[in-house]
Amino acid sequence: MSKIETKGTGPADASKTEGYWQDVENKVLDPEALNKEFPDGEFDSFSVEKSRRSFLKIMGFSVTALPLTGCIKIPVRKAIPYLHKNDTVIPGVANWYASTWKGTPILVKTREGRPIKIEGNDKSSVTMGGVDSQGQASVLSLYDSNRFNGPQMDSKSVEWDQFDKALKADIAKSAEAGKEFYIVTPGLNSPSEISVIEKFSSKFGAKHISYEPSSQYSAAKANEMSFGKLALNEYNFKNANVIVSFEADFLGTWGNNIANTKQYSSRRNPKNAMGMNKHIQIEASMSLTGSNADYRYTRSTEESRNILLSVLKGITGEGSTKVIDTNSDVVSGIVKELKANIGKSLVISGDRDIDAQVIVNKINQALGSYGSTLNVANNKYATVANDADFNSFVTSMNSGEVGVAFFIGTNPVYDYFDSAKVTSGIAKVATSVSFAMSADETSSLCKYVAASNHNYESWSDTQVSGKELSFTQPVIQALFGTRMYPETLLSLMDETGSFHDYIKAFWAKNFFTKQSALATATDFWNKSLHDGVVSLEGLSPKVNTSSFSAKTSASKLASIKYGTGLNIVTYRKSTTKDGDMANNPWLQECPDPITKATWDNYAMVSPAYAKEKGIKSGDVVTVKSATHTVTIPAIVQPGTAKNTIAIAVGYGRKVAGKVAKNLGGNAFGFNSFVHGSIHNTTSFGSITKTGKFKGLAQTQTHHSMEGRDIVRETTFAEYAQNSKSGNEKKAKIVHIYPPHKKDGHQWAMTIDLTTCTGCSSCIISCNAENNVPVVGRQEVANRREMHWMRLDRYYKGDENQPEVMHMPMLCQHCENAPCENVCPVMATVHSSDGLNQQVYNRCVGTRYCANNCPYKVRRFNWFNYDRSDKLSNMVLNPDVSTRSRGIMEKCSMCIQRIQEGKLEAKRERRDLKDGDIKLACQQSCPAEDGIVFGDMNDKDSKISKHIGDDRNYAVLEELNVQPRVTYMTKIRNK
Amino acid sequence: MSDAHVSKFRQKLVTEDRTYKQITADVLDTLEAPPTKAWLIGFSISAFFLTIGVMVMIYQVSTGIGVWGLNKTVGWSWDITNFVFWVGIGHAGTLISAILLIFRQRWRTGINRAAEAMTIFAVACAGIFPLIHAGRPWLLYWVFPYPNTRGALWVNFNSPLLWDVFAISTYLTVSVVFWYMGLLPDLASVRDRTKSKMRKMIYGIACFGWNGSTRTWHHFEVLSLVLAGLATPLVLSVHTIVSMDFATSIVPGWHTTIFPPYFVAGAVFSGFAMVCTLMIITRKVMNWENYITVNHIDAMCKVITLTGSMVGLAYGTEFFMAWYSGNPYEQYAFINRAFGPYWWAYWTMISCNVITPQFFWFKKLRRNMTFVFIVSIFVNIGMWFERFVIITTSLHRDFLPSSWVMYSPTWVEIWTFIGTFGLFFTLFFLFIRFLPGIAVAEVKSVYRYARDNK
Repeated sequence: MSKIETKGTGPADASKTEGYWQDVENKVLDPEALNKEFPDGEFDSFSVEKSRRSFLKIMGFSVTALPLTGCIKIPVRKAIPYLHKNDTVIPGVANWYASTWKGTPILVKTREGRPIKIEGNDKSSVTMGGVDSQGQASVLSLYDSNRFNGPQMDSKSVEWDQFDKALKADIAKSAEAGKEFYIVTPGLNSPSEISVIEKFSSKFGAKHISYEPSSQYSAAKANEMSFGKLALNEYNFKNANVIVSFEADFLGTWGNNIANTKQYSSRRNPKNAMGMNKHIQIEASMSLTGSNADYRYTRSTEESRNILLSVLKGITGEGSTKVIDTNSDVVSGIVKELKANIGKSLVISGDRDIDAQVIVNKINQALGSYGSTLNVANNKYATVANDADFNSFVTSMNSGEVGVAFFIGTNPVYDYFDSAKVTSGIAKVATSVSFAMSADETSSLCKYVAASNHNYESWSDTQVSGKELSFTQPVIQALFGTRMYPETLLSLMDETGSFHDYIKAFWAKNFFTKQSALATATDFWNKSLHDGVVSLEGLSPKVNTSSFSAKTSASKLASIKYGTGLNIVTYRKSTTKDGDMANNPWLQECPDPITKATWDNYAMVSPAYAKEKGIKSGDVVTVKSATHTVTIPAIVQPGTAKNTIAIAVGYGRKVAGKVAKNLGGNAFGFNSFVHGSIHNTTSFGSITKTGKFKGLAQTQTHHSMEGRDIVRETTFAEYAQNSKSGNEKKAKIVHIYPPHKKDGHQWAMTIDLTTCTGCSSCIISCNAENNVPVVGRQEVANRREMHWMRLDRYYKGDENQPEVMHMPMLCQHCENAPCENVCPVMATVHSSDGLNQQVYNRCVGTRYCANNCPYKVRRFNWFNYDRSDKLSNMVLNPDVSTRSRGIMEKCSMCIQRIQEGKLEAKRERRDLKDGDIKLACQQSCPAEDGIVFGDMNDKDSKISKHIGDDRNYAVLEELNVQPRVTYMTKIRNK
Repeated sequence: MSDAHVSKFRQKLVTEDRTYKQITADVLDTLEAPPTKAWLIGFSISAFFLTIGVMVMIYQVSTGIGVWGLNKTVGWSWDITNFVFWVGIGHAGTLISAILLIFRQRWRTGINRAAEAMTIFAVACAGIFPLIHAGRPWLLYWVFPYPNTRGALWVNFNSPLLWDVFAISTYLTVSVVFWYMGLLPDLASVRDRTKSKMRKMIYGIACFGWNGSTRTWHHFEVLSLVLAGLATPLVLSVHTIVSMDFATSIVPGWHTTIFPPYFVAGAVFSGFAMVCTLMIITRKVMNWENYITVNHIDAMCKVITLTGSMVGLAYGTEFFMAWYSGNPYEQYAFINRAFGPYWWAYWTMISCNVITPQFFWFKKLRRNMTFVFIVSIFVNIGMWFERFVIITTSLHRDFLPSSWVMYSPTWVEIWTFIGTFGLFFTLFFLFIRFLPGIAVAEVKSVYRYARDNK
C-alpha cells in the first residue's frame, strides 16, 4: 500500500455524516451510500485548524489570489445538471452491463449513460473473457454518424407508422399475387429472434434462409452427409495434442476465434500438465493461424487437397493417394503424428468444398476425435448460413417468383460473388426491404429501409455453445429513430408489446423451466440479465457420430480439374473480415497482423513470383479472372504459394460511410458457386502491372530481426531439457548508482511470446481505453500511426516458408528510462510505483525522448487529429485526456485503471489483491496469460512468478534501461 | 614611408600603401554613399527568401510539425541538422576574434569584424530551429529556469537540451557584446565624418559617446582582452555541448565520446569555410582587396586543412571504435551510414570534408580565389551533410528493426532552410550597409606592420 491510501482517518468520521442529505429530492438517499461517496480522509486538508495564524494565512492568500482570478480566462463550460438524478448513475463512476457481441459474451462499460468500452465477460465458459478486435471496435460503430436516422421508403424518410402501413399493404398485395416471400438473415443463434422469425414466417408464409458471404456451410453440409445433421462443429482445442489445419484460420477468422484462441493458447503453455500442443498448418497464403504454427507448409489449394487425400488414405486406407513427391514427407509426418495421438488430435479444414470437409470428418472420426477434441454442435437455436439456399433464392428472384424479400443484416449486393445477379434480382422483387443500420449496397437498391438498431441498442439472446446462453441488452437508448428488427417484425404481425416483453416471456417459458436454482421467473430473468451468461443443459442434443464412408467424396475431390494460370484466393482479414464493419476507422487503422498494412486490401504475391515478374510491394496490379477484375496494389508476402494470389475481401465498398467508401477493391467476385457451395479458391487468372504505384500504409516495413536478440526462442524439446534454453544469455549489468527505491506497489508486466498469437485485439482495446486518435491512411503511410501498443512481426528463414514471430511492443516503463533524463522540461518522469509517466500539459514537444527511446514506442501528435465528429466523440473515455498537437504520448500502463483499482480497494478498506487491476490490453487478450500485469512486490502474485520464470527476459537488456515490461521466450513445439 | 629596416620575411598586412585617412575612407565611404545596384539586388534577393522562409514558418507553426517529413522513428532531421550547421558556422567569428587576439595573430584585424558579424547572424539562424522544431513553441519559455507559479515544476538539469539553451544563449550574448564593443571606435568615426544630423545622433548614441582619449583606448584594450578571455572557452564549450545532445543519448551512432572534440573541429572547419566564402565575395564587391588580402585567405585555408583533417580522423576513429567496441548496434549504424540507403549522403560528406581540403596543401591553390571559393562551398555542403548523416541515418535504423523507416524532407523543411539563408544574407547586407565592415581602428594599428614595424 502506498502512502496515500492509508491516509484515511477511519470509521469514526463516517458516523458523523450519518443522517445528512444532499438536497430535497435526494433526502431519502441511503446515508451509507452518502458516507461512501468520497473515500474517508481524502478531503481532510480542507478542514483548517482555526488559529490566528492560519486565519491570516488564508486571508492573505485569498486577498492576493482574488485579483489574480480576474486575469485568468476561464472557458465557459455548459453542463446541464440532472433534473432528477438517476440513482444508478454516479458521475465519474462507470456502470457495467452484460451483453453479447456477435456470439461473444461481453461487458459494456458505460460512463454517464454512454457506452465507451467493451470487455469480455469472464463468466462465459466459452470465451472466458476474451474479445477480438471487431468486438473491441464495435462500440465505435454505435456512434457512426452515417447511420440511418429512421425508416425510408423509396429513399425518402418516413415515420414508422407510415412505413408499417405501406409495407403491410405491399406484403398483402404480394400474397394475393401468389408470389414468394423470403427472409434473408445471417446464420442466427438467437433463440428469441429465431422464434419471432418462425412466428412471422408461419403467419405470412415466408421462407427463412440464412446467408453469409464467408459461411462454413461446407462443414455443416459435410456433417449432414456424414452424420445426418446440418450443423457446425464445436471444437475443444484443449484436448488436442496435435492440430492439423488445412487452410483454417481458426485463431483469426474461422469459427469462434476467441474460444479457439483461449483453448489453443492454454496448450501452448509449456507448463501445461498435458504438454504443449503441436500445430501443423497447410495453407496457400499466410494467415494469422499459420503464423503461429509449429510447422507451416506453404501449399497451393490443389496441393493441400492432395495432402488431405493422402492423409485420409494414410489414416483410413480410403481413397487414392495423389501426392506429388515433394509432399510425401509432409504427409507421412502428419499421419505419424495423428496416429500417435488417437483421440487427442484434431484435423480441421477451412476448405469451402463439401467433399473436403467430409474427408476431414472421416479422418477425425477414424482418429476418435469426436467427443474429445470436437463434436457436432447440434444447437437447438441456430440456423446455418446455407450457400445452396441463397443460390436458389437468387435464381428465384431473377425468375420473378419473389414478391417480398427481407434482407436482415445482410448485404448480398456487395458480398455475394455474383453481385450483378442479386442486383438484377432485387429489381424484379416488388417489395424489397433492407434491415440495415446504415446505407449499404443492398439498402440502396431496396424499396424499404427498416433502419435497425445497433447491437448495443437492442435486446437479444444468443446460444453461445451447447451449454451456454448469453443476453444482449440495450446499454443506451436508440440514438436515431431506428428500431430493432424483431420489433419491426412484431409490428408487421400486429403484435402488441415490445420485443423486450417477447424475449422475457420467451425466457420464462423456455429457459426458466430448465433450471431449478431460482424460484421465480423474474429472479431468473434478473440474474441472467445481470450475469449475461446462463448455463443450461439440453440445448444441444447429441449427434451420433458413427463411422461412415468417405470414398465418394475422396474420388470427387480427387477428380477436381484446376484451372490454368494463377490461383486467385480470397481470404478475410481478422480486423475487417467481411467488410460489414468497414466503416469503423479503428479497424481500418489496426494493422493486419501479417502484412502490417492498414486502410487497404492488396494482392498478396509470393516472393518467388514477384521476383520473376518484377513486382514490388505497392505496384498497382490488375488481377483478372474469367468473371471478375480488381485493380489494387500488390504486396510481396512471404509464405504465399508461388502460383497463388490472395486478396482480402471486405474492401471496395461502394455504398458505405465516408471511412469505408472506395477503399481497396471488392474481391468477393473471385468467389464462385461450385459443387453445391460457395468457394473462395476456384478462380484462376492473371496479374498484370498497371505501371502505377500506390505505397501501402504499413506500420512496419523491415521484417527481419537482423540477427538481433529481440525475440528469444527455443523448441519445446530443448525447453524440456533446459528451461532456460534460448534465454541463457544474460547481459552483465554494472551499476554506478545505487538501485532505485522500490517500496509500495511496483507495477510490472510480462508478455508471453508463446501464447500471443498476434491477433491485435489489444491494439484496439488500447485505442478505446486511451482515446488514441485515428490518423488516416496518408499519415500511417507517413509512418505516424499513434498506437500506443503495436505488434512487431518478424520473419525468419526461407521466405517461401518463413517462421513468424509476433511481439507486442509498448512503453517498457524502464527504471532507467532514457526518455526521462533528456526532456528539458521534465515532462516525462518516473512515478514512485515504477511507471514512466508522460505529463501532457508540461510537454513542449522537443521529441528528444522519442529519439532516445530504444523501443520507439513514443508517439508524437504531429497535428491536431480530427475530433470534429461530435457523435463519435461520445466514445471517448472521460478518464483519459485527449491530446492536442505538439505533444508526446505513449502507454501509461492504463494509469486510470490502476487508480480506480486502488481507490476501490481503499473504499472497501482492504489491500489490493492480485488481479484487481486489469489493463485494457490484458483484459482483451484472448490468449491465456498472454499479458500479465501486477505488483512485483507482491511475492505471491502471478507477475512475480512470471518474472521469476526461467523464460523471462527483457528486450535490449544490455542497455541497462531495466524495463518493467518483460517477455517470456517463444517456444515452438518442434 | 620609413627607412627603418623591415625583415623581408614579413608580409604586409595591408598590401597597398595608404594614408590613415584613405583607410578610413575606404571602409566608411560606402556607408554614406547611396546603396549600389549590386547591394540593392543582393539585398532584395535575400529579403525575398527571408520572406518566403517566414511565411513557411508561420504555416508550420500554425499547422503542426506534421507538415515536415518527420515520423515516429525519425524525430529530428533537417531541423536539428540546420541548427547544428548554423551553430557550427557561428564558430569562426569567436575563434578569430578571441583566440587569435590572445595569440596576437595580428592578421585577424582585416576579417575579424565581418567574421564576428557572421557569427552572430549564424547563431541567430541557428536559434530559429530549436524554437520552431518544438511541438508547442509558444511554451518554450519553460526551458528557462525562472521562478514560476507552477509549484515544484522546474527545468531538468540532466537534459543536454537545457545545457544547449545555456550554451547558445551565453555564446550569443558574449559574441554580441564582443562584436559591439569592438565597433565603438569605428562608430565614433562614422559619427565624426557624417554631415547628417540624424546620423550623427544615432551613431553618437550607438558609440556610447566615444571620445578617443587615451583612457578610453586603455579601457577598450583591457575590455577586449577580458572579453577575449571569456569568449575563448566558449569556442570550445558551445559545440561541445551541442555535441552532447547526441553523445549523451543512447542512440547507436550518437552515443560516442569522440563527439565533443570532433564537433568543435567540424565547427571551426565549417566556420572558416563560410568566412572564406563571404570574404572572397566581400573583398571583391567592396573593393577591400587590400585589407582582406590573399594572405588572409591563405591563412584560413591552412586552418581549413587542419580542421578538415581532424574531422577526417574523427570519421575514421568512429568506424574503428564501432568495430572495436563489439557493439552490434553501433556496428550496424556505421555500416548503414556508409552502405545503407543514405550512402550517397555519407559519401558526399566524405568527399566534401575529407578530400577537398587536402588540395590546400598546395600554396598555389590556396591563393587562387576562385578555387578557394569553390572548395569553401563544398566544405559547407559537406558539413551540412555531416550533421544530416549523424542525425538522420542514426535515427532511421536503431535498435528494433520493426521501427526502421525512411525519411525525406517536405517542401516546408526545404524552404525553411532556404529562408534561414535569406535571413543570414539579409542581415549581412544590412551590416555592410550600416556598419563598418572592417575594423578600421584595428587595421590602422597593424597598417605599419612590415612597413616600419613600430
